[in-house]
Amino acid sequence: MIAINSKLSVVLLSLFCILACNKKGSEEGTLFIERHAKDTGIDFANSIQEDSRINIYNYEYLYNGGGVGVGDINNDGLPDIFLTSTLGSNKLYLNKGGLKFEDITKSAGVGLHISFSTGVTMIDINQDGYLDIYVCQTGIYQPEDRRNMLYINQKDNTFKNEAQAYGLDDASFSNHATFFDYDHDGDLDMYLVNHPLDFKYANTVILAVDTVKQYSTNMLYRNNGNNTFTNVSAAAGVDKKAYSFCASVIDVNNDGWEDVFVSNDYLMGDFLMINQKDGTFKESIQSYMKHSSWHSMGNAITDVNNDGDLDIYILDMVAEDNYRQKMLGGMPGYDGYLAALKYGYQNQYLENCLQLNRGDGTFSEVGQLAGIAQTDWSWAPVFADFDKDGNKDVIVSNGYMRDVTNMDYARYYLDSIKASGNKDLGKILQSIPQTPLLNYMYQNQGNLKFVNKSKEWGITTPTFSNGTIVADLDGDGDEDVIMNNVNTPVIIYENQASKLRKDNDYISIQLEGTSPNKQGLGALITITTDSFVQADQITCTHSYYSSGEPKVYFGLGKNNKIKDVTVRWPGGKLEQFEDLRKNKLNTLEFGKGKMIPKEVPAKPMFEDVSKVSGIAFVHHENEFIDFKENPTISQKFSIEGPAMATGDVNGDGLTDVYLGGAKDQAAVLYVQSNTGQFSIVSQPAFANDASFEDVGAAFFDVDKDGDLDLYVASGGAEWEAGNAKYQDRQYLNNGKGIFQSTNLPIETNSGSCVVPGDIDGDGDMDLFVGGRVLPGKYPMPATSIIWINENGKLVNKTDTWCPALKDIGLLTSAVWQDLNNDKKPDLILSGQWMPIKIFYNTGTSLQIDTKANGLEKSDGWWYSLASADMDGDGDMDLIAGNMGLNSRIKAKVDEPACVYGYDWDENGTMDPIMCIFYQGVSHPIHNRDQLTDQVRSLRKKLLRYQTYANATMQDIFPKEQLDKALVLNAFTFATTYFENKGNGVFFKHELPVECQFAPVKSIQITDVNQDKHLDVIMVGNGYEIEYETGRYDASQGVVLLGDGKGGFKSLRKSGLKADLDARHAEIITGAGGNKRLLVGNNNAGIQMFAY
Amino acid sequence: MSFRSLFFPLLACLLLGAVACKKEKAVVLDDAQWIRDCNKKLTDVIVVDIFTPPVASRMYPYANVAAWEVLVQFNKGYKSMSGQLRGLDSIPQKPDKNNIDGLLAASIAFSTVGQKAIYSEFEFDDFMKQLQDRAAKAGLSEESIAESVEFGKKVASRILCWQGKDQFKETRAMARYTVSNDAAKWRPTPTEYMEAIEPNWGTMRSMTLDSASQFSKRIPVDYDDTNSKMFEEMAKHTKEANDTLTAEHTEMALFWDDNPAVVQNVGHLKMVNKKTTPPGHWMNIVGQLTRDKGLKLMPTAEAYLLASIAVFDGVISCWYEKYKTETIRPVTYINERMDKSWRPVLQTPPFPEFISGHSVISAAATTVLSNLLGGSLAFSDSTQVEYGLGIRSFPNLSSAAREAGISRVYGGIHFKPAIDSGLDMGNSVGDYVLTKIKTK
Repeated sequence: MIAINSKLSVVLLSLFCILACNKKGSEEGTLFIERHAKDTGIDFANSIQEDSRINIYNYEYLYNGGGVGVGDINNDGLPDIFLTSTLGSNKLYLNKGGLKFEDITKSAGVGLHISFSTGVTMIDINQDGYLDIYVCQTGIYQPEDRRNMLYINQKDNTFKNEAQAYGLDDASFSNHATFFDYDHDGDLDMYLVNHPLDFKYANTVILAVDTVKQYSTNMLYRNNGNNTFTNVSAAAGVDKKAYSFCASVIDVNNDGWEDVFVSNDYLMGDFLMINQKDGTFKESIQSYMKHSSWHSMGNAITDVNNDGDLDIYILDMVAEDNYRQKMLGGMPGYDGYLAALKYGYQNQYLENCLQLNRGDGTFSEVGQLAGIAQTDWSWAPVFADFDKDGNKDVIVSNGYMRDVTNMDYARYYLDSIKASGNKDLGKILQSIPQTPLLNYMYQNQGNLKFVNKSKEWGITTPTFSNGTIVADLDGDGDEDVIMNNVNTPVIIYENQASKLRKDNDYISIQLEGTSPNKQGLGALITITTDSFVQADQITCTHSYYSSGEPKVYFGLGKNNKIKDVTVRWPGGKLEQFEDLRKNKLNTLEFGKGKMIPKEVPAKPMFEDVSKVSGIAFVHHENEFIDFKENPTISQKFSIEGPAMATGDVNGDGLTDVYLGGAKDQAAVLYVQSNTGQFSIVSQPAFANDASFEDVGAAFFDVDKDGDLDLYVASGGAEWEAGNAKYQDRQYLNNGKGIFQSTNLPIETNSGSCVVPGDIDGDGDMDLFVGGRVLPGKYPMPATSIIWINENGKLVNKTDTWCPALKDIGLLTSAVWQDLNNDKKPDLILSGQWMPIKIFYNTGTSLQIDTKANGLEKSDGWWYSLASADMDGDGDMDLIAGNMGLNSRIKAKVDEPACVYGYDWDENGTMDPIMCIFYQGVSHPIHNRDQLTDQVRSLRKKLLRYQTYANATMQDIFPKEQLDKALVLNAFTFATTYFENKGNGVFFKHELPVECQFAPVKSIQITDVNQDKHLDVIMVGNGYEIEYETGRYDASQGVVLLGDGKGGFKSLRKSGLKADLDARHAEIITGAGGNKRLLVGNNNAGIQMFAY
Repeated sequence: MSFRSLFFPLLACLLLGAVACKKEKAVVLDDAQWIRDCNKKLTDVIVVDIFTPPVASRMYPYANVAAWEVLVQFNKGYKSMSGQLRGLDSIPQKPDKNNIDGLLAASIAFSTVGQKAIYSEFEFDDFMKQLQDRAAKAGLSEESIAESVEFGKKVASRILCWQGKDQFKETRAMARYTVSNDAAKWRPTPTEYMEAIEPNWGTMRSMTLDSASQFSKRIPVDYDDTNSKMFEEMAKHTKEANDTLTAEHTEMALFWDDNPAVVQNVGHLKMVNKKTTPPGHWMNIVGQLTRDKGLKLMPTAEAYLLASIAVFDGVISCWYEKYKTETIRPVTYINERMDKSWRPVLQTPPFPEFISGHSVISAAATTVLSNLLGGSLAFSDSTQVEYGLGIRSFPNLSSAAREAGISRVYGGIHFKPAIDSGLDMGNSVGDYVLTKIKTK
């Protein structure tokens, strides 16, 4: 009896525990609670039953899922829900309050359809005060069976399809529609996105898409103002054919006219349709954005970083975890990528893109930096400030019913199933594995930093999720989420912020505009508070296939005062409202605020004067692809130019410019005239040396005859190590700016930087020349050289001064600076896979600093260095340019990126393998095909993708080999200010986020704004990186204003547009003392900015 | 050990044994089947692992030479290849024991060499076990089997050593093909835009040729000048041939496609359809012909030997030519200059156009086979049935080679001159192989 009792009590106790824990876990702990059918009454699931007719081979868009429409159809103040279904009945659920819903599909008359339903848009099309519903249709059906439907609200919870009467019964293969007033005639027009039906060449580089446009282009329907619409697609220039998923409205160029961003699936680039203000649009994405997502899915537009400008977030389908990255197919091979570029496709990479609006009509893609670039096979991104802290968070729905890109299935299993005699393709396809995924919930922590909070916030059920929308479904003042899933019922994520984040305020705003756009669709609302400015716009469609209420919602955080709210109404009128109520829905009525004039943008500090500089030199790279020798090398080393040096070569008091050429391109010398114009002075010696690749150069007086001579470092990777083409060159000035070749001792290192300094204190200039890489043997270090000037002759004294420099690393930059105030220049070095290194000058040698100097674990991919006393404390500080944080290659001290250098298959070639951490474990970054192309012997070991998909280096290679390999680490990629604490100890300060957008290749320290404080100019991008990581192109140059105390602030809208593959920046004084910034770009022209 | 764990392996053994017994009968009836099985096994693994035509062309001759070098020591009247093939000498001689079975040893030698070449090594581990089981079933003693295996491996080891010096390893470490911006030069082709394969294959040591350029062909039209009228005419011809295909022509194109991995795309869905390479197709034909004609062991081994050598040397000649000319493929020329949306029937293989590999290979193979089996041998090729294709009949071997050649024009992947020159080159290679090698 006692025994039983104790057992019972254990059971009871456990039960209690489970209940209690549950209560604690969900009711109090997590920000969201998953609400399923039993709670909500919404038992709808988008069920896909496959058979020999309905399958992914016959119709590739079978698993794309359904949308969610949210809107108050009966004006009872509770948002109702419309759900689309691929194969079954669409559903309309009436909100009964308290998160309970009633299925009124049948009585409402909105369920039935023949073809597949896709996107839904809730809009009051006839402006009668009742929401109507537009539903898109597609699939392999006759046009008659696939006409889009327009359900007109009969004001009694019933609807009638009047699409035909309105002229909106389009029979295209439709995905979604959005409404806005493109022609500013006051009424709402419709932009419809469609897709072609033939998927055979959808993901193939082809020169021409089929010219048949019927049913498959983007479309524009003009509102005639009388409840009818006219198809004006061709005349408006929007009839472009693509697999378009999602059209979003945004005025990208701030001209007051709404443009349209369209994300296109597969290889086809996205469209940015610029409104020409005359009823037409012009596709111009390549003028606004440097690259985009490879397969663009849903997109979302909002102000992500609280700067008042709308940004664009576009999803792709790359997984975050190593296993799925390695198992699922991705981009084509390198040659396929090149073919796409050659045939005019835009630069696209396999990643979600966050296109950050720079406020002047240009964008920087910073998805990797923000940490939201990899969310697997994704559909809908929806931004909302779920925790009301003042930063908009984002939820991303993802999942695809079958892993159709599973490489083992593509290459080995499907074929073997067929070979085994199974001829029913429908059946065969059903053997492809299924992997439901966890949706991504990212908390925006400000400053472009997003952190994955899915599990912590209660998003715990793996699903195949598609259409998604947020709305305050239970009226408690926070944003709930509703998601349409394939094969499992809809989930509502009930937001608990009203209970759990009580201290955080919010404000919700809707507009009361004028008929025929009473809801103010297209209006931009900007809120200014004590602590931030934030913008959002009124729209009826959000992200993928879905539609929400035309409201905006701003979280405010704690004790944050609203100063004012500005509405830019469609058509451009600006109206300011004050005295808004927090934690309430505010309705702003047109004309009830204060009309304000349009702000005139201030004149930027920098002005591009390249066109009038006279410098017409264009750097031309030769045809060479490092990846053809080493498929796993992480970057090209053959595109390091142009070399650049400045100085007064002819003694006229004006700065002149040397520009080095790539292989087979002669260097040029530009001489400045007293009008500030530059012109070329012919230099036969340079023409003779055209076959060298010039990568570094410096002017200095080597022979003490009073004029500037020139040293040029040869580099690149086009020749095998030790080739005479790596010989550096020295040119002597005849005093008039004409240069003559003079012999240098033989050296054949692929070089990088050339830095003069009087090392031995004898009054003449000596030289440090950095070694970049051992060609063909990356990551083997190259040799660097100390040249001592002995009576006008440079003598290689590396052995006596600093033998360690012979294999110090992959150097990029060096600075001579007296760091310890002993009046002797010390040497500071930067390079890839190495820390910042300091060598103290003893007068006769350079001794590496081995004391604890604060530079421990600073190993990174450092490209640039500059030194000055930034905080006015009397010692010299360092500014060091790193790779930046906007890359899939990431590193932390406890999770370093690393490279293994070894000839694994012992065939005489170096096989570099880079590893990075994936969710806590270090794996090679290369996919199986690349790795086995580099290390061919692995083809016997890695017989299937699966064999490789979980493998670490230790699984792949024997310990004896791993022990012999050269292993180099990187612990940080952040561009950093190293503050000298006065005793040769440095303190690291990560520089502002704008400095982390791309590799910083060159740094200049100067007082830009004449406030007597030193400022910093940084330029750099990186087109050399291997293509799967994707070129670094987000930097436009950074102007960091210093406060004289070591604090820095990035200047927004500076006018500096160093947005090419910038390698060198030099400040020169123009005629008359004008300040000029010169930027040398690889494989492009030279830019000049006046400031 | 429990009854269960004992019972099922026993049952499996019994069942397997029954199957093995059935098979073994065929072996007894025709011992040449062993050599065919060896070659077919190699082909099957090549298909699964996916190899390019040049790499596949190298697998067959070394394995068949290994088998041959064992067999000649057991069959009087046949000559060793030692001293006849470039670099081959010092073949280990069979020990003075009479319990070594020549056919088992030859099959083991073949398999050991084949195993080294492919990726899925376990396949040949299994296969060699099966060979030994078959030998046991046929009555060979345990000791005899062990001795035979040992000798087979010994010969194989010598062959592998010889093979190791054929420049293959060195070509693995050479730079891959870099696409040029020159509009007249080959560029990657749809749909996969693969990197050009084996740009250095012309540096491989052939088995019989004096040099890779020995039968180099003068380019019939100015292939270097894509702006020439002749080039345009040539492209027009291929385009029209491909645009006006009869059912017969389409069947020909697909029948001789022999693309080891045709990638079928439907949006994101990718399916790789695998079949033999051109060398593999011809090895399969050798298997069929020797079986249909009821050839005995040595003539069968001889046919494989000569055909595989001819094909291997043919590919070296051909590849030397391909990367000397770097000729653009029809699809690139036609898409860029004539018709943007034109698509050939076949997926274009990833290497330059001139000279047609299939033409060279087919002509080289049929030249030596005609010599062995007769120039008027009519046959029906049913080797493609297992890859989902039909059966095609030919009045003689050389007509099959001509059809394989012209099928490339119907398939839209070649210009006509590359076929004509390719057949020429193949015939020359085949003839040369016959003059250089004496099997008897």
